[in-house]
Amino acid sequence: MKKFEIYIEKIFKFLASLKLAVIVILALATASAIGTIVEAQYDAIYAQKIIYHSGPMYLIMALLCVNLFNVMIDRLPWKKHHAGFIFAHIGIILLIGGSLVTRLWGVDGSLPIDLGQKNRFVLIPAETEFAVYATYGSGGYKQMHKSTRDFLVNPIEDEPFSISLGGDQLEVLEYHYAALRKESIVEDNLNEGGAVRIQLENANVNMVEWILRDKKNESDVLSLGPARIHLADIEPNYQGENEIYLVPHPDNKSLNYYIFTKSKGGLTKKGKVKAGDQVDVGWMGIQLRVLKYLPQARHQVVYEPIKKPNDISSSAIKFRFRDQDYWVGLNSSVRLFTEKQMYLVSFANRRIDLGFDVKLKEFTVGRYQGTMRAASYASDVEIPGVLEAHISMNNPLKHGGFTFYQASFQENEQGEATTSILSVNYDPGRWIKYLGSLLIVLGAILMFYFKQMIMRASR
Amino acid sequence: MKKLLAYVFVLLFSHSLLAGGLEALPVQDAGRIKPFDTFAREALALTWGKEKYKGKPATQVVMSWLMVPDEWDKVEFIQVRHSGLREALQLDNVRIYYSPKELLTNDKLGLMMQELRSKQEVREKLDPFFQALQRLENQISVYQGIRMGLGLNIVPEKDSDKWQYLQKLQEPYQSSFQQILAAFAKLAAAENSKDKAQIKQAQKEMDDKADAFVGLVKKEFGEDYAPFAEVRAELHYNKAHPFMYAWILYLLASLLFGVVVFGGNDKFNKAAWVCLWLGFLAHTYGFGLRVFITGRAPVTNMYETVVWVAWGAIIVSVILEKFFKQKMLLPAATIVATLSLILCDLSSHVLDGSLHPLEPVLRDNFWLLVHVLTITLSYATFFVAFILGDIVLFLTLKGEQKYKKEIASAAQAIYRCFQVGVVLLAAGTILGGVWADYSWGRFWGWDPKETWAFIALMGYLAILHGRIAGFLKNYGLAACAVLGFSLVIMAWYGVNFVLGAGLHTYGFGAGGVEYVSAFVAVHILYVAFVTTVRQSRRKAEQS
Repeated sequence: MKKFEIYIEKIFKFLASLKLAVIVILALATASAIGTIVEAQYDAIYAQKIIYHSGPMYLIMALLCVNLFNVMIDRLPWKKHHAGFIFAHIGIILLIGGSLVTRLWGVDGSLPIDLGQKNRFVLIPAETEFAVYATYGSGGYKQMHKSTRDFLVNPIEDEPFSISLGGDQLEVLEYHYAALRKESIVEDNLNEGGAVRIQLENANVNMVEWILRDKKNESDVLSLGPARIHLADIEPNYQGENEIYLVPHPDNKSLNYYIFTKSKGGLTKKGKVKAGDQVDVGWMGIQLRVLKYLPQARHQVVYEPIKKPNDISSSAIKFRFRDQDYWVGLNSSVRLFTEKQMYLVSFANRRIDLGFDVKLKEFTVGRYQGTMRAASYASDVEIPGVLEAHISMNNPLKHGGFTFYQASFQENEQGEATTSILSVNYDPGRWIKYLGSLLIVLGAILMFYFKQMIMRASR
Repeated sequence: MKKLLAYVFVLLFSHSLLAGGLEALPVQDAGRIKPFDTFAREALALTWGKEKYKGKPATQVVMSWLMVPDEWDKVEFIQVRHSGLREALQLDNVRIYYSPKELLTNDKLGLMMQELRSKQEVREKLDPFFQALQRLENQISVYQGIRMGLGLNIVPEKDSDKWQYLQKLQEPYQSSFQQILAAFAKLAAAENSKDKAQIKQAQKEMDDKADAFVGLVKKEFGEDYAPFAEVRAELHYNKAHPFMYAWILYLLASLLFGVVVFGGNDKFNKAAWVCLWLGFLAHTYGFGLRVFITGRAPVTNMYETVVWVAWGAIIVSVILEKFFKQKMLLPAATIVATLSLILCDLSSHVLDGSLHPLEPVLRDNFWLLVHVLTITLSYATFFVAFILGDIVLFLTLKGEQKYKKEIASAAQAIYRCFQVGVVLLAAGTILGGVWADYSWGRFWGWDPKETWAFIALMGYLAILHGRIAGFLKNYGLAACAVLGFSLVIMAWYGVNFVLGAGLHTYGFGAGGVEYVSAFVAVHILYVAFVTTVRQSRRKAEQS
């Protein structure tokens, strides 16, 4: 029994020791330093998820709190000269506790509003939702599944993820934090619309384009200024321009073509082409070449994983449904067709409903004289039926428990602002953190002050 | 305080204490009004790399670009520092200066500019090669702009805040400016004749013509079409070099204090203090000028924080010396101030001393000001501790027993600096949180700059606790003062110049990274060396 007590004593002594304090402080510094390097390599959200909000970081913080608490217990009974030391240490515990409160119950998101429009959904940039909806003929949606799992922190490789949809399995295969969107057209037996890749060439022009016909349309058209090229499943319906009609031939390999000339007022040439053939269309010296013909095709979006995120990359998920692979990028959706119904798979940032609309009435940008550099910007917003307010840098709006700050804006190519981005915040831990901060600074000053007095007295 | 300062400076500069003349001609450029002198200095520093061209002041060079552009097209004066870029452009690569003509007729340049465009469009981070190309593009466009009269905006416009450029000027401005040019031609001729009276005469005529031009603009746009007091103050600031005088005086002070503290010679004490206060006066004057010209606290870029740290080191050390009688602080603080201000003077391509308009979030913000001032002030105290650490290491090398008293006194001073620095850094970091909370609603966001300030704080806290626990004696404290400052360098410089540019752009000369890394490495080696010597000595003593 006595031995046990000695052990307890030893553990307590270690948890209250300056040695542990130095170790924990250095560990905290090292982890933070690694975090900044990760952030420079990847981006801020990645660094937060992998380092700053990781298990080891929480462990360090917890150890720090235990150490601070135990060292205060160890100094019992407290004397006057302990005041600074107690203040500073309680302050740090409060600061960490307040941050935890913010992390658990706070909201820190962004609210983009287009000029003249309203929005009520706050985007939480660091959190995502993977959801599946089913449609039933009439156009209504029903949510079948929703997951807030973070595939970066909790990877597919460690724990598979699949959803059952009416007897079929939807299985997530891959997750990539950074990927680039790539579009292509591929052969597909589900969609009956065809696709053709053509080249138009004369002395001045050389262009290559895909025309894809959706199965529900009778024709799809590619407009090139004065000329139009149709991929159609019907007989030509001449509209009075320079036009080319490409109509699938029943042999599934070739296309019938009909060329109309505006100056002649009607059909000037017709015949049959297959991939590799070339036709002189008779106007503007243009040669038409069919490069590829797919009788049944669909538009495919794939994401190409890259190592480091950049301005145009986004995270993406690859999943399998009925033996077919699909990609869905962040803040986009994919439609899946079955015999019975259609599913909509969406992967998006988590959104919070404010419970009220915020309308952007006006947005003003002040520029430095004679330049396009923004010197200041401000939003005039309205919460319909409640209030109107002016939000600018360092001048936020408080409403409904939330605080709205002017964060940034987007502009079009002409340099006109189109969208104001507000940052929306709810922080229940704020006062704990402020109290902690005050105690830390006060404590630190007291500590050095009292030390001085004691040293003088003992001399 | 700010108002008082403004009042003093307006009083100083509005009453034509300093004449106007061509150099004080207001020019609108890069979002603010500046004197023609600044405009010309910046244009010449960008193209040629220095603010003077073969002894000729920048204003004269830029005037002659306007006068004889065809001649200047053939002059080799555009500096291309990046040797990889010279090779890629297939330039002869034995020079670093090239004429505008040979650059503009270069076949490769157009293609490479397109590549640069496409990179800029997708906002790709530019590597040093493309940074150099971007600079070259900038150099050519600034020269071309001035040469063709498009880059010099000197008359306000009625319905726009963009001023009119030279080419677009209407009468009477056009002919008035032509008269300035004619007077400049006379001046050039006079300078060739080397007749001093004639030069003076021509100079005066040119300045009179410039004043006449300003008078014409005032007639149409009112007396205050430009902030004349600030413009004149800036002209004065360009010419007075207050920081140069400051560092010379600080250097003298540090030598004298060195003699007093280490030579035990009290005779020079008074002289040292006089030098310190005179240097501090020049330093404060330069600082005040910058505040007055920009109308804001001068701590928004690297250059300004270095100047502020030098100032803070002196203030903090003088106060600590008064309270605790630690003489050791004074030589260290004057060394810090000398080094910092020399750095500002010498490395103008890294530490950009020019005055720029601010990003929106940095404007009009009290908390920003307080938190940056507090944090950089803590850097100043750690800098002083660092120099003291260097001194202790040096004394240890010379003989630990012999200098026992000095080492103990220096260690005590280091400890004092740490205490003050830690309080300032903790308060400053927290104030940074308050600022972020106030501006963005986020107390702490793990932003690299704030995180590194936090890491530095952790480092010094670990040292203080190590001292309290008795792990660190005098020597250990001094070694930690030297090593710990690496954290401050990372927080202060590294985040902006190393992390900010991305880790892959290491090792190139663009931002002085190699010098700073070498500085840190040398000090780590220094500590390692002294520690090894010390240990072998102790072993020898024991055996």
